[in-house]
Amino acid sequence: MQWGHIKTLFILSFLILNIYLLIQFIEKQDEADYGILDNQELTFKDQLKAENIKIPNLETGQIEKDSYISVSQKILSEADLEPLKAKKGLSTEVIDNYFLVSQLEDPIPVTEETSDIISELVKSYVLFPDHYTYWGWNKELNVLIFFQKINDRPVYFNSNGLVLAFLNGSNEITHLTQSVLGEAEPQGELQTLIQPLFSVEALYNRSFLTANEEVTDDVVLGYYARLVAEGNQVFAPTWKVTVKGESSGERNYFVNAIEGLASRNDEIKFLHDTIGNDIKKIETLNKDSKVKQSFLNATIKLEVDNRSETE
Amino acid sequence: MKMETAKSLILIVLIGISLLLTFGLWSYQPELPEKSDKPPLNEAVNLGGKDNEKKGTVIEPREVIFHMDDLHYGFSKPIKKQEFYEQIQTWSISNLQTRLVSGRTPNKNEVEVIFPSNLPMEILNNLMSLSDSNTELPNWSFDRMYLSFNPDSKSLNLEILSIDGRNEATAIINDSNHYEFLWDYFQSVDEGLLQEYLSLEQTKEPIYIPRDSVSVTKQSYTSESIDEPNLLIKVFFPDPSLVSQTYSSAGDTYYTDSQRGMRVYWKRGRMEFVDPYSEDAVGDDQTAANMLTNSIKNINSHNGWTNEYNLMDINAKENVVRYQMYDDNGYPIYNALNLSYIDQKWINLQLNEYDRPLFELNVPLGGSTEKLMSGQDLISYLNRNYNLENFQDIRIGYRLIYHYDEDESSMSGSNYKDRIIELIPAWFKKENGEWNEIDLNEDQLLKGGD
Repeated sequence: MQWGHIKTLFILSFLILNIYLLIQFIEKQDEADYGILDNQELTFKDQLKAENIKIPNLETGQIEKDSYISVSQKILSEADLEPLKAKKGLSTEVIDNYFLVSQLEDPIPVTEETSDIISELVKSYVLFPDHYTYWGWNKELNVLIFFQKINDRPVYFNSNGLVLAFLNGSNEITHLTQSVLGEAEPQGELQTLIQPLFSVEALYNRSFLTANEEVTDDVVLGYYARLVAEGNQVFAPTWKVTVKGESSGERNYFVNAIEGLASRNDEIKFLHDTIGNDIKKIETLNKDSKVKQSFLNATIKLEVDNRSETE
Repeated sequence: MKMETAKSLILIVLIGISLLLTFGLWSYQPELPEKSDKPPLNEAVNLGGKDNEKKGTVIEPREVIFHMDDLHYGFSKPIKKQEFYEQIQTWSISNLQTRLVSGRTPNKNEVEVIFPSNLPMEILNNLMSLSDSNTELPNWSFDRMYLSFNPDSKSLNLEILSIDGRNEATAIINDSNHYEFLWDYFQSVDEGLLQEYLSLEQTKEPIYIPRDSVSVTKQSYTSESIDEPNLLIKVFFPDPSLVSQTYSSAGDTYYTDSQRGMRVYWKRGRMEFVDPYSEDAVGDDQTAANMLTNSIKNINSHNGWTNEYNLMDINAKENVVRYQMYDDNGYPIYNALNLSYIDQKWINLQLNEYDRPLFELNVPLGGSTEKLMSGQDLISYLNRNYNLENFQDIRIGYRLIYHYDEDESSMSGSNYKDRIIELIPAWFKKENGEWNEIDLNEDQLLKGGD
C-alpha cells in the first residue's frame, strides 16, 4: 500500500517536471526563430531613436520564404494585341513584337492623383492592365509610371516590364509605351527573406539613412534587378524602402531580401535612360507612321535632356 | 494489482519522457539562418594559377640602369634584371628620412631602378626590407629609386624622389658586402650581362633603351583554356544556383544573379565581371595602397595568377589596377584586345569590375630568333615620324596573337582547348598613357622614293 502511494506521488511530480521541461523546450525553439532577431532589433531601434530616425511600424510576423525568379521578355502574339487593335481612338505600333507605343486621338485628362483613379484611366489603353500597378507621377518629365506585377508583386524600375503614360502641358495623357515580361520561373531554391526592419538596417549601415530622416510608407516586397540584362533576366525578391530627408524629397532604395544588399535608384535617371532607348526604338519605325512623328514631337524636350545627361 | 502495474508503466514512461526532454534541451542547437557573410570559397574552386603573389613579387622594376659617368648600361636579359632586383629586396635599409627638395642632382655613378607605375610610398616596406618596420611612411608617390655609393663608410645610399620632385626620402644600406656586390658592376662592364643603353632626353622623364640590336625569340605556345562555365560561376557568384544565363548570337554568354553580371567571350578567351554594388556607396577610404592589397588578395583567393603577371599600372584616381602577362624570359606581353592583361576596378574597397583572360600559355612549341631594330636606328626613326614629347616609355616586348577559328559555333569547349598562341617580339611605346606597338613601316614611302 505504501509503495502504491509513493508511486502516485512520483507520477504526479514527474508529470509536473515534464510539463516544465516541455515549456522550456518550446521557448528555446521560439527563441531560435525570433529571439536572436529580437535582441538585435532592440539595439537597432535604440540606435534609430538616438539619431532621431523615424520608421513606420514594420510587421515582424512570419518569416517569409521566396526564391529568385528568372523571366524573359514576353513576345506578343496577334491574339495578345487584339484588344488594342480593336480599340477606337487609339493608334498602336508594335516594335519587334515586344514593345508597344500608342497615341490617343483624344487625350484623357488626369485630374486626381490617386492610384485607383489613374489606373482606371489607362486601363483600356494597355495590354494586361491587371498586371500593372501605378507607381507614381514624375512631375519633372510629366510621366505616369506603372510597374508590371509578377506573382502579385511589383517589378521595380525595369524597362522590360513597364508602362509609361506621357502627359501634355495640360496634364492629359497623349501617348503610352508598354513592355511586357513573360512567365516567371523560380531560380534557385526557396530562401528565408530578411525582415523589413533588417532592410532599414541595411540602409542605415550604408549611410543611406542618416540622422533626422524618416522612413515613409511601408516597406514593400517586390522584385528588382540591380543589373538590367537583355534576354533572360534574374530578379531578386526585394524590399522597397522610401526615405524622406529633413529638407530633401523622398528617395527610394531597394534592398535585396535574400542577400541584404541595399542599392539606390534614381527615378529621373531611370526615366531618361528608358525614354532615350524607347526613342531609339521608335525611330526605327516607318517614316509615315503617324504615331512615330507625334511621339517624337511629344518627347522632343525629354530627348534633349537625355542627350545632355548621357554625353 | 492491475492498477499497480499500470501505475508502474506510467511512471516508467514519464521518467523516459523527462530524460528525453532534458537531453533535448541540452543538445538543441538552433539552425541559424546563414546570411550576408559570404561562404568562404571552396578550395577546389579556383582558376588553377598561383595563389601566393605579394606586392613584393607582383611589382617588378621596368628597368634597372647603371649610370657610369655619361654612359648608361642595362641588363641584356630581363631575367637578370629580376634576379638583381630580388637581391636588392633582401638588403636591410635603415635610417629612412624624408625632406622637402626641389629635384635631385644625379651622382656620377649610380643605379636607377624604374618602376612601371607610380607607387605609393606606403608600400615601400612591402618592396624593400626596412630595418625599422615602425617607420612612418609618407603619402606621396614615386616611380624611381636611386642607389649611390658612399666610399668612406662602404655603405650605399638609397634615394627615392616623389613624382612631383618636391619630396625625397633617403636611407642607408650599411653593409660592405652589398657595397662590393654593386661596385663590381661598375668596375668592369661584363659584356654578357650588361649592354649599353641610350637615353632619350626629349621626353619628360628620360627613357632608356638598348643601343644595339637585341635578339628575341619569337615563340608559340599551346593554350590551356579556362572554359568551364560552372567553375567560373562558382568563383564569381556567391550562390551559383541563382545564376541565369543568356547566349548571344556572337557566341558569348552573359551570366547574372540580378546583383552581379559576368560576360564570357568564349572565342576571344576573355571575361568581364561587374558588381555595381559598391558604385552607390557613400564615403570612400580607398587609397592606392589598400586597393592594391585587396586586389592581390582577391586574385590570390581564386588562384587567378594563371601565368606570370606583374603590375603594369595602378591609378588611384580612376580606381583601376592593371597586371600584365610576362613570358618566361621576363619580357612584357601586349595585346590590342587586352588579352594579356588582368584589369580590376575597385570602389570603396569593393571589387567593381574584373576583366581577365581565360587562357594560359601552356606548352612552349619553340620558335625562331628575331633581331629587332637597334635602339640607335629606332630613335632616328622615331624622330622622323613621331613627336617624342608625348612618349612616356619605350620597351621591347611581345605582341600576343590568339588564334581562333571564326567558324566555330559550338560551345562544346573541346574545340577551344588546342589553341595556339604566338608571341611576336616588337618595340612598344607608351604615348599619352596608351601602349601600342611601334609601326616600323611608317617611312617606307620615304625609302621607296630613294
